[in-house]
Amino acid sequence: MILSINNLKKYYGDLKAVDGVSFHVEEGICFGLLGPNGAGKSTTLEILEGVKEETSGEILFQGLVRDKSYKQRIGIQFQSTALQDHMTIEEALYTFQSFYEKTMSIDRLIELCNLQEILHKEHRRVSGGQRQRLLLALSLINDPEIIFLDEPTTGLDPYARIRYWELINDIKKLGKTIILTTHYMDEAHSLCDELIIMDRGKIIAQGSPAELLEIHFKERTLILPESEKTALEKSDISFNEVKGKLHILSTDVKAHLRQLMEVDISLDDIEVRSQNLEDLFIQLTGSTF
Amino acid sequence: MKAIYYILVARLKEFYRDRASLMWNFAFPIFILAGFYFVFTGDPEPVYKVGVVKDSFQQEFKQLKNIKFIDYDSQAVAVEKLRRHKIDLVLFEDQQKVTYWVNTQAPKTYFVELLLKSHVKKPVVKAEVAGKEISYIQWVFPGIIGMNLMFSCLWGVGYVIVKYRQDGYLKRLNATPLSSLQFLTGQLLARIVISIGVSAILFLGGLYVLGIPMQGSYFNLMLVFLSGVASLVAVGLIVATRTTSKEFADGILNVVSWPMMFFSEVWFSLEDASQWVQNIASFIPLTHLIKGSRSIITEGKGLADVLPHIIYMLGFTVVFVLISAFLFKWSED
Repeated sequence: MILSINNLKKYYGDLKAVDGVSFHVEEGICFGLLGPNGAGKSTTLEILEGVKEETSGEILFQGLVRDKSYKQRIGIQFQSTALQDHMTIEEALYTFQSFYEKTMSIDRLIELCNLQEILHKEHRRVSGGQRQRLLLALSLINDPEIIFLDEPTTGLDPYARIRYWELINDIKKLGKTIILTTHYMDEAHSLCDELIIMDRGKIIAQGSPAELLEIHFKERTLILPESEKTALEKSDISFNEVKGKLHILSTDVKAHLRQLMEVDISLDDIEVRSQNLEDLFIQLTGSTF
Repeated sequence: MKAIYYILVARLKEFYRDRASLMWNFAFPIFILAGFYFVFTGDPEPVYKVGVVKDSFQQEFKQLKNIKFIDYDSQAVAVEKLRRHKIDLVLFEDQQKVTYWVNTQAPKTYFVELLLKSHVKKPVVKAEVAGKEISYIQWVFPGIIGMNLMFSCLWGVGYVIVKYRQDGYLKRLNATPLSSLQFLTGQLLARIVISIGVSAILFLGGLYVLGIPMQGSYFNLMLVFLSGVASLVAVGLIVATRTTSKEFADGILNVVSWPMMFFSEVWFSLEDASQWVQNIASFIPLTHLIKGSRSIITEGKGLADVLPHIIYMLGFTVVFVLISAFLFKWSED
């Protein structure tokens, strides 16, 4: 285990931001922390990064209590990071490199994070995706054993997000351990080998995405447009409204389709799909984030 | 050392590339100097000024045009004015003779003396004093450089660090092995380089453009500036240790800087001010920076004379930097 967290707590007065969280992270995996806003995932991450102090609990790095060398061995990308005004991408890389004893070569970082074209631009003048790639490069500058990424793709367009995911997969191939918080369930599904879902400071589910879906869902979801709501209410089929659509959980899709036809509901726009992490998240937390 | 070097270089580049701030650093003191230069050199004045001790001078002499006669009750005051080049000659007449004083270092005195000799019938007795002229522009010049250093240090360190904190840059730095001492040292050194560079340009501009004479040692002046900048940076650091809002920092810096400016003899002397005002002034590092540099520039005072100022400013720096390091917080939490 590269990280072991036992009964971690962080209290702000009466507010229990993190309330007795325990989990273990294996080396070389991508570990996800999921949860609605205020669940305590960012606080947990910041305690693991060493930028916040825990109220109580134990954090072991490679089986030992963290010491001063910990900062030399980890890489961090915060949710939002400012750099000095007017600093170019290249200057940011060299400045941050100067803080560490062991470093990755700048040329290799530039190639890995695809920064060649923007090297001499000011960091404020690059796109969101390019900026996130710079911040990722800064988090990799000391060739860290663990990289902490706090909602790294928030605000990026779909293309930039996919490129960022490719980059994370490249970093995983280097054998790095990645600990990630995200709001995007597709991101967690695509990148994470293991994850925990937090709510109100506690862990409410833990496992690999496949395991979690296997445990929590036997059903498939039938999705209908909102225009069928009146007709559906007349039937005895139970459903949930999610983001303007009507969701029916079904263990027998054929039987449900027959029932829908009987109450004269159009099946032209029906969608049938397996449960995903988003469904699990909604089911467990009651939040549509 | 490498980390400090990179922090220093990054801060210098940021300063250079922030054109608005760069312009302000240079333009503000130049505007003030230019303003004073025109205000204090533009008035039409009489050709000569003669101080008269008691109203008992020759009528013939008084009728001469372009000479302003100023009455003085005290001979000592009149002679001191002559020594400082405020007047060109001092005159005192009794029953038997006319006594007059000249300043051997004042060129105008020579001509007034010729006029006097040709118009006075009584025997004359001549006395000499010596003293170089200190114009207001000369006097105020070190004050303006000091004031510029104060604004530069308070905002360039205090405000910038608060901005870094509010933006989250300090939080990011805190996630690296960089220590607060390395960071603050880098900031301090960068500000010293910037301040000394800007002051050197202003100082040379004053010397060669405005013709302000330098009476003392450049090395001593550099020591006063270095210790002064360090002490003013320390004031900036105290403000920046925990403040999380740029607006609040701006307000605090204004509250700190304006009284400092008025109590530190930037614009006017506090020689005649009451004791409590002088006590406050003596606590302020800017007072020591300005007094020290003024005495070197205008009077040519040596290291022994300015050493108490340097020691005070360095002591002030140590105390305030230690308090700052103790109170310093990286992030807003």
